[in-house]
Amino acid sequence: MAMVEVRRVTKTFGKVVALSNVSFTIEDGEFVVLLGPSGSGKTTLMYLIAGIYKPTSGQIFFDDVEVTKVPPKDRNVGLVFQNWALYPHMTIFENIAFPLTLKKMRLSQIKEKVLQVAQMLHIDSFLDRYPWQLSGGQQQRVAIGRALVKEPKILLFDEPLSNLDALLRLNVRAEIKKLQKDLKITSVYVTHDQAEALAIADKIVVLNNGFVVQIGTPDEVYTKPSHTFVASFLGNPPANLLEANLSTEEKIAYIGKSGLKHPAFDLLLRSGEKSFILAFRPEHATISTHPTSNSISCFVYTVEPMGREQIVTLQVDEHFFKVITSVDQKLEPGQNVYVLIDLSKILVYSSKTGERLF
Amino acid sequence: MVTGDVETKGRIKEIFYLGVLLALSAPILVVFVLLVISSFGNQMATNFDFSAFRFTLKNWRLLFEGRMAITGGVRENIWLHFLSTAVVAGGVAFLTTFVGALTGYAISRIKFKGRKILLLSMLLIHALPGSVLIVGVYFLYRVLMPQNLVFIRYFSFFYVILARAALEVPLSVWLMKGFFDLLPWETEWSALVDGASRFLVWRKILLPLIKPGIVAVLIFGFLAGWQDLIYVRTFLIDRTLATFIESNLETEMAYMPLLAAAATFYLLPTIVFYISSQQLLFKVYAGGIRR
Amino acid sequence: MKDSKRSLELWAFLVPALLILVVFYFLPTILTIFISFTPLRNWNIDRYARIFAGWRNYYRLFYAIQNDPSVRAVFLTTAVFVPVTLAINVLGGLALALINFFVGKRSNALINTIWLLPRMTPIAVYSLVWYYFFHGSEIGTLNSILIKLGIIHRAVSWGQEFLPYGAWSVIIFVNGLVGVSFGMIVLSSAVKSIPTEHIIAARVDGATDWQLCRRILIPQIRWHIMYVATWQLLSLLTSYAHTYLLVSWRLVDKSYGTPWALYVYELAFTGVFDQGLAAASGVFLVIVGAILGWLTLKILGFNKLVTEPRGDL
Repeated sequence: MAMVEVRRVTKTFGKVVALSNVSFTIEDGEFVVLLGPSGSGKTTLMYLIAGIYKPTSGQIFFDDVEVTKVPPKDRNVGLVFQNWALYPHMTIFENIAFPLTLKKMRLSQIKEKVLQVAQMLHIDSFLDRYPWQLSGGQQQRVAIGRALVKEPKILLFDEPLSNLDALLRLNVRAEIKKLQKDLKITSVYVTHDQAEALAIADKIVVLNNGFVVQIGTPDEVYTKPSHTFVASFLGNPPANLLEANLSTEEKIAYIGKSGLKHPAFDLLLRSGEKSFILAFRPEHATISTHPTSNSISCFVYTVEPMGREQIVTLQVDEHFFKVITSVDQKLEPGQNVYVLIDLSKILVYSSKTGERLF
Repeated sequence: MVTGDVETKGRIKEIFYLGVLLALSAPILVVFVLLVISSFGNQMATNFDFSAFRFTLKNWRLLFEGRMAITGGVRENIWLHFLSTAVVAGGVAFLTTFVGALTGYAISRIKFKGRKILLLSMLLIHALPGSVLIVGVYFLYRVLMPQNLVFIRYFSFFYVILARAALEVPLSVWLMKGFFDLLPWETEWSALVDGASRFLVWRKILLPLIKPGIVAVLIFGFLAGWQDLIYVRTFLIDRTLATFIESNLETEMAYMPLLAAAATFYLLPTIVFYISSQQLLFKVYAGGIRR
Repeated sequence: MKDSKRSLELWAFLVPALLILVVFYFLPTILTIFISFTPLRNWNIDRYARIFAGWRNYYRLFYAIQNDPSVRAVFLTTAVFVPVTLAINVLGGLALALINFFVGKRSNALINTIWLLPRMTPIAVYSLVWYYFFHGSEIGTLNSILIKLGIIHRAVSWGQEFLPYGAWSVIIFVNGLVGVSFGMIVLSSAVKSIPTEHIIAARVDGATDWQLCRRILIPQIRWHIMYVATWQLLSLLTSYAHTYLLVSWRLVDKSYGTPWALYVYELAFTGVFDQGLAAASGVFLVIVGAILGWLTLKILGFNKLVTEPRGDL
């Protein structure tokens, strides 16, 4: 059990800056997900916590003790890989026992610990088999077992589910979360899958291009994205981002030719903004065939039925956005409709920096 | 991303390993450096005794003038030896590459009966060096030898190139097959659908695509022919640099630097080719080689 | 496409290789066996090649191994030279591959360059540099170093004195260096193909360099090591180019510097010119070589290497 603090860490590979000035803390027993697209530096960050990489500058603390220069073996971390990295020439028992044999532990003690972990993960009946004789899900558990057997202070997961098929992924995801809560072990989990992050995390650290964009609970990150990047990265489909122009005289924001009125826009006008980005989730709008006040006039572009609901792509001028409605609502491509956004749920971003204004 | 080992080891350790390695490699470097130094000396530098050592270009001048002390009045034309070495090496290079490109393509791309057996026998004779059969190869050489003395000379060139190339053909077939395997089938199919013959596809479309592979096999074949000693001394009537060095070794001490110059001269093209095409050659070697 | 045209095209691709296979491998094998049953001497084909000698050459060979001290020496030399050089080749190659793994990329290139040099160098030049190194006079590099260090007091002819060990050491050393690069290159690329995660996982678990080698790297490349070993065994048994000049220049003793393959060559082409006996000795090499070669391909997993061409064209 441990607390982790990453303080102003920068990591460069030659001229490439993989991470710049990253700071955050992980509380004892917390499950933190590092979320970002590929190349965002999330795996690099995890390897820095594991000690596989050394930061170019900055510090890392475990329980207020600096470990920046401590080699990985002395950090007592467990690491679960994307491809599980099971040693093909060792049996399951030998794979799980490997970290212990390196510590020159007595064989009886090793056996006891391996069996304990194996029983917890329900893989105790495969111990004398080889990795290739196991299914993907079973191999996954072995990999977790190998990470857990040395009773690490911190458990690190590097996209552990991406080699599993979709259905299995949901089950294992739930298992990992339950295991983590039962053991109360501080965990860092790297993924590019926003749904996975939302489902499993206590806290999400969103990374983009080596910068931390937002840190927060899944709910905060989903409902109050701090940046247009986060808004457009989370959710399926992600939040709609529409360019809105402010009219100084009418105190109205125009999207296409439709005007919207909202008290918040007055504040924007006072700060001298001419335009902003209006963001809203596809589930926070309704489609009507009749115009009402504050509705946006647009055309139906496509309709994608998804079973219970349908995703409607709409076009206003050259911009597209998506709204989720019930399949009962019959819509035809090309039809002129009016979208009413739930104005209490909208978010407003600066069109220059992408930062959230309110 | 991570390559090789991780960033967990200290620099000191790496320097230590490198030191061990360089210490192990030192003899190889030392003997070659001593050879080159000796070729510019009035005496051999191989004993590290530089007290009476003086730099001179005399050895090289004598070498190119063909004045080898041991042969007394007979002048050795070193450029002629150079030429015959180059002819053998070039012939081996061309032949191995040509045969490799043809057969490698057929094995990689065409279904035919005995394909597997052909590949298996290629690999088997690659593993078992053809040089153990040299008695039989020489027997054939004597049987086929023409009567006319002028022809014999050309025949010996022809035969030594064929025989030496035969040793390298299995490897070049294997490598070429590997290069062809990497090419997408769609390129070939589209040409075949357009009505091209297999041969045309091979020559106009696939060969240009594996140019780096061809260059690698060419260089590889050239170096094999260039370094050869046993085959040229057994079959070739003309001398090459190798047989020249072989027969001129028993010089008196005073002329030893001259032979060092000859050896350095012989080594030069190898080094040039080797350094200019290292990456390619590593790939060729990693593809499976014989000692 | 018509079938006849198809097969014509196929032949165009295969004829050159088939010719080479037949002329330089198949026929010479038959001829070697044939010659071993004739009293062929001095390459006097007209006179001897039509005489059937029965098993005489084989009988002579076994008699010589039992009674002729110089042939016994050749036999003994082979029995020592092959396994010791093999061990040096494989262990040296493994050691270099592992060190290559632990040092940076730039150092890799340097090491590869140095260790490929013995293989790339023209054999005559390579033999010459070691001729100077082991030379029996004061110009010999080894002598001059040891005299300066005060270990020996007079120049030693390394390949001619202290028999048989002197001659053995020289040929094993010279051949050993040539073979190391093969193991180094094959095993280096094998080590490189081990997933990085395995190494990271082991490092996180606290494996030292030595533990990493012994527990993770070497077990995962054990088949490659086997392959290198059988392949090298085969080539050590059958090739002789790198030893030939050392013997013919008298750097090493003739009997204790001559492994079996070189003995075959010397019998046929130098001195005695006894091709009948040479062929009989050569046949044994071919048989042993063929068995080992087949074994090597088994280890290599021949069937895995052969993929069927796609399409039905």
